[in-house]
Amino acid sequence: MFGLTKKQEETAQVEKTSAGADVTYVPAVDITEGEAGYTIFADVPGANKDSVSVTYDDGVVTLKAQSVAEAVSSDLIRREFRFANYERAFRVSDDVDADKISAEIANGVLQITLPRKASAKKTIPVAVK
Amino acid sequence: MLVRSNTLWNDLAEVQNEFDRLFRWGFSDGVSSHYPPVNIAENDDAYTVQARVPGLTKDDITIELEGRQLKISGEHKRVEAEYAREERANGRFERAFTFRHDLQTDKIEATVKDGILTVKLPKAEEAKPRKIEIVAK
Repeated sequence: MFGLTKKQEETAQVEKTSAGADVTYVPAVDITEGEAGYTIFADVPGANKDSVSVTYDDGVVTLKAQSVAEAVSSDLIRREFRFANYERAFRVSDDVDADKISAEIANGVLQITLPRKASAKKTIPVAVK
Repeated sequence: MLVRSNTLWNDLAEVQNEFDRLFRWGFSDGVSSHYPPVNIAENDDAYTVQARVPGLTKDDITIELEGRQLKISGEHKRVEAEYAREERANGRFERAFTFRHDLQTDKIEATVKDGILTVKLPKAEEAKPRKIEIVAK
């Protein structure tokens, strides 16, 4: 299970107004879990390779992205979404190998791969006296 | 196992996501008619529709025009895996919009980039506003 962190609390209001017309969304995510590790898929439409960042600091993975897509913003007769910034943080467990975390982005979906440490899979027998 | 810290905000975010999911995908039929979210702009010459479709490529989306009605349909396909969290859109969707003006059906352009679909629909010549000269007699 993934936890959310303090950063998340601040942005959990689905839309947060900051400087100017910018808003920050908490992106929807899917998280898969397997023997090899965990994968986070985050929806960040409008963002590309140059406008995303993924950082790991003291057990917390933070993703930040910015929509840089060309947005039609004048003469709107219907508006259901905004071209926004995205931010979300996840606390990861000790079995994640922080040095091997990797990320890629395609079609507005950021995929973060968090491999488990090799040693985490080992079963250590405990002698019972 | 990953540690999870529960706070009020987390719970609220989760409730919000769950509501979004239900409203997007409905309770039973499995085809959403409220997805994807769109912005629509209109000027004298054209309508522009932008839709938020993260994860989809041009092969996943079908765009049809019948008269003044634009239909956007497609499917989000999900990787087979064990999911610890599922918040993203999944499954089939079909959404339709009817415009107030006739359109030039052969001049419609659609592009999808970085999860944003943009459809430009030029209005028919006769539907565009015209300036009428007043003849002084």
